Formats: sequence, C-alpha cells, structure tokens
Amino acid sequence: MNIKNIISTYILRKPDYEEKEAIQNWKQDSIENVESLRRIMKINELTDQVKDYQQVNTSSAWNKVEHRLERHTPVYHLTIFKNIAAAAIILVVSLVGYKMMWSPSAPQTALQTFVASNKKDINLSDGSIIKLDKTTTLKETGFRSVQLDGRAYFDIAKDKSNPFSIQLKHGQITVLGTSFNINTSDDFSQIYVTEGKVKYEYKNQEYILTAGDLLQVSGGNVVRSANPKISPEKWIQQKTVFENNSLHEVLETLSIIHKIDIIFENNVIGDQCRINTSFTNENIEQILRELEILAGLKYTIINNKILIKTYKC
Amino acid sequence: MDKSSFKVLFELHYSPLCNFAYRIIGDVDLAEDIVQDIFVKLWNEPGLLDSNKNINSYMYTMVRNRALEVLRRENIGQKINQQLGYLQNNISTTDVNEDEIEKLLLIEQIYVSIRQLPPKCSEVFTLSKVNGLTYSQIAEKMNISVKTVENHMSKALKIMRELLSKSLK
Repeated sequence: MNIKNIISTYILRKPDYEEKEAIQNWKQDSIENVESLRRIMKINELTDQVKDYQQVNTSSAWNKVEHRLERHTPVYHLTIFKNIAAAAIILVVSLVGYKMMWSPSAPQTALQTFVASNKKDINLSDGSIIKLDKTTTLKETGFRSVQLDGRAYFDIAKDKSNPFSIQLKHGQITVLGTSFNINTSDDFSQIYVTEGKVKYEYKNQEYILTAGDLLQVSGGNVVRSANPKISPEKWIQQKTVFENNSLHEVLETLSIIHKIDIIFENNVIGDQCRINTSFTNENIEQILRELEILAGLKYTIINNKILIKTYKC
Repeated sequence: MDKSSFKVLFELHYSPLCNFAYRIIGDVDLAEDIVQDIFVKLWNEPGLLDSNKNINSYMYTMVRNRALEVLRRENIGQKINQQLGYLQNNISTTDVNEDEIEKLLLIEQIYVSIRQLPPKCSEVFTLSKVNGLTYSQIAEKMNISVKTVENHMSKALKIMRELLSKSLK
C-alpha cells in the first residue's frame, strides 16, 4: 500500500497493525520522514480542536483596520473626506494604443469578457450595472473584480465587505462609494470622479478621489486638475453642455470626452473667455471650428494631439 | 513594511489570532476587537514593523497579553472559571513561541481545508472527526448508507491530503 495513503489514515482513523508496521519502517528511512510524521500527528491532534473554531470575516475586519491606519507612504488628499456620497463617476481617457484594446475575439471563460461594438449595458451578477462605450472591452477577473480597456460608466452595487476593483493600464481603482465612469489605455489615462469616493493606486502610491477630482496619468506622472465640468448624464447622452465655462475648462472636458490630448503653447496665458454652447454628435474638428468662431481659437492638430496656439479673449 | 505587505500579514494571521484570543476570553467579538487594536498599534508604532523583532512572536504575545488584561479588567466571573484551565497552563511572562504559533496556523489551515471540501464530504468529515460519530451513526443521521459514508470519507481524505500537502512537506 502506498505509504502516503497509510499516513493520511492518521487524519481519519486509527491505523491497523499492518499499517502501523509500514509506518514504523518508513519512519526509519530518514530524519525527514520522522519530521513529516511528527507534523502529521500534530494535524491529527489539532483536528479535534477545530470544533471550537470561530469563523471571522477577515476582509471586513481589514476594512475596519485599514481605516484606522496612519499613513506611512505619501498620500495625496485631493479633497476633504466630508463627502462620502453614494455614487462615484470616473472617466479615464486614452490616446495611443486605442486600436490595440479593441479585441473582438477576447477569450471566453467562466468569467465573462464583454466587448462593445456599440454602446452596451452590462448587468453583473452582484447587481452592478456597467454602461460600456463603443470599442470598450471589459473583462471579469473575479467576483467584483474587472479589467477595463476603453470607457465605461459603473453603477456599483453596495457591498462593504467586498470592495469592487477595476484594473486599468495605469494602476488600479478600488470603489469605496458605489458608482462611476472609466476609460483607459496604454499611453494616457484620465480619471474623473463626479460623485462618491474611490481609491486609485499607481506605482505604490494611493490617491483618494472624491467628487470633482480629475487625475491625469501620462508618462508615469500623475497630475491633478480641478473641477472640470463633466456630468455622467451628459456623457451617456453624448451631449456636452457648457454654461459660462472658461475656455480651459471647455478644452479639458473635450480632451476627456474625445480622447485627445490638448497642449497649450507656452505663451498662451489668461483664461477670460466664457463659453456658452452645447455639442451632441459633432466630431472634434467641427467643435474646434465652432470654438474658432466663438473664441478666436487658433490651433493645429498633430498626431492626434491638439496644439493650442492662441485665442482672442 | 509597505501597506500591501502589512495586508498580507493581516490576512494570514487575523483569524488564527482571533481564535487565540477567543481561547482566552471566550468571546469572539471581544477577541476580534483585541486583534484589530493590536494590528492598528503594530502599524502606527513608528519603526516597529521594520525593526529586527520577530513580528510573529510579538503579535501573538501582544494579543495574548491584551486578552489576559481584558479578562482581568472585565472580571467576567463565570468565564474566568471556564477558562481557568487555559490560564493555569499558559499564564507566562515569556513570549509566545514559534511552536505555539505554528500550531495556531495549522489549526487555521485544517479549518479552511475542511470548509473547502464539497458540502456532503465536509459534513461527513466533521461529524466523524470533530463530533466523533461512528460511520453508522453518521449514516443514520444523514439518511444515507454506510457505504456512502465511507465513499464520502475516502473522497474527503483524498482532498484533505491534497489541501494539506503543503503542511505535510
């Protein structure tokens, strides 16, 4: 009989005479065997103690403890923690590598991969609803854990003991509130939160984002911007409304929605323009032509980047 | 130590530590509070995690001492009687040693392994090993044949062996 089978009977029942003999012989083979047997006997003895074992919820305990930990590593407080709302909205925008993330033949596993050729609503098993933009790929990597390429709006079901996580090309987002928007790719990411609270981790640094925070990740650098005017409803409708916004705010918003980098030439200063307009289905060229009329904007488009030369107000 | 390593330490030891504290004070909620406090203290005390101290021993000793302190302070009269056996054997000014820690971690592994068994297997295994019922008592209780009990046990054995193989090395 296989010695391993005999030994494992120690876990289940008392060995009979023959089995005991076999084990005694095996024990004498090496000092390692003696040590193994000692451990096995210990397991056998300890199994009896399992009946008093108390089950505890380690992950919910971690959430409680984590909340009380002082910070050792630098953490950027983007806003004060007073606003823990029910929802969060994030936009992460990409520039280069956009075609690479478009993978119509994504592997099908028990965990699903969703590829949207048009806008599409996904209902996850935990009750979360995710709206995918076209050419977005969403891959489930576990329960309440996904990987995202492209842009999506997340409405996450509340479950304090199981935080929802989204893996991006640049870092990872953990949802502390309940609902938000994302978009990501190889070279450039933008994360925008309009409601709620999310944690963003990138290169061993943690960022807590709340309503109004915009993070831009590019070339390994994380830069924060303040309060651009984007609302999730507008994003879903693909309608962008500007009411008395500055030209800088308008351009920043457009760069997020149209996944395009906007660069200001050094000598462009001042932000006196106030823009009132709305865009629904216009492409970026059409929008820029309108801004050319409204604000005397002069620009050039190079490699999917817009270089702003000057404007008149 | 960065936060992700600290989280790994927490996930590995939280449940064994809670059960360690539970053996002393006999109240699982209190045990959890103690262990959470210790982890917060461990992180917040400057330099402690990165010092050369044996962190495992330090953690278990801190939890034990705090649990004993709580027990004394709360003066849980009846419970003290219940736990007297443990106290007599274990009250000590020395640190919790590696053997004791290894034992606590092993109990955790066994517990986790039993829970990973298929439901019927787990039930049969628990009734037999933990509750000490005979195969025929289990068969009667679960309304299945003795042969089926044996099959479940042999399946449980096979799976437990695989799950515990790491500890058997």
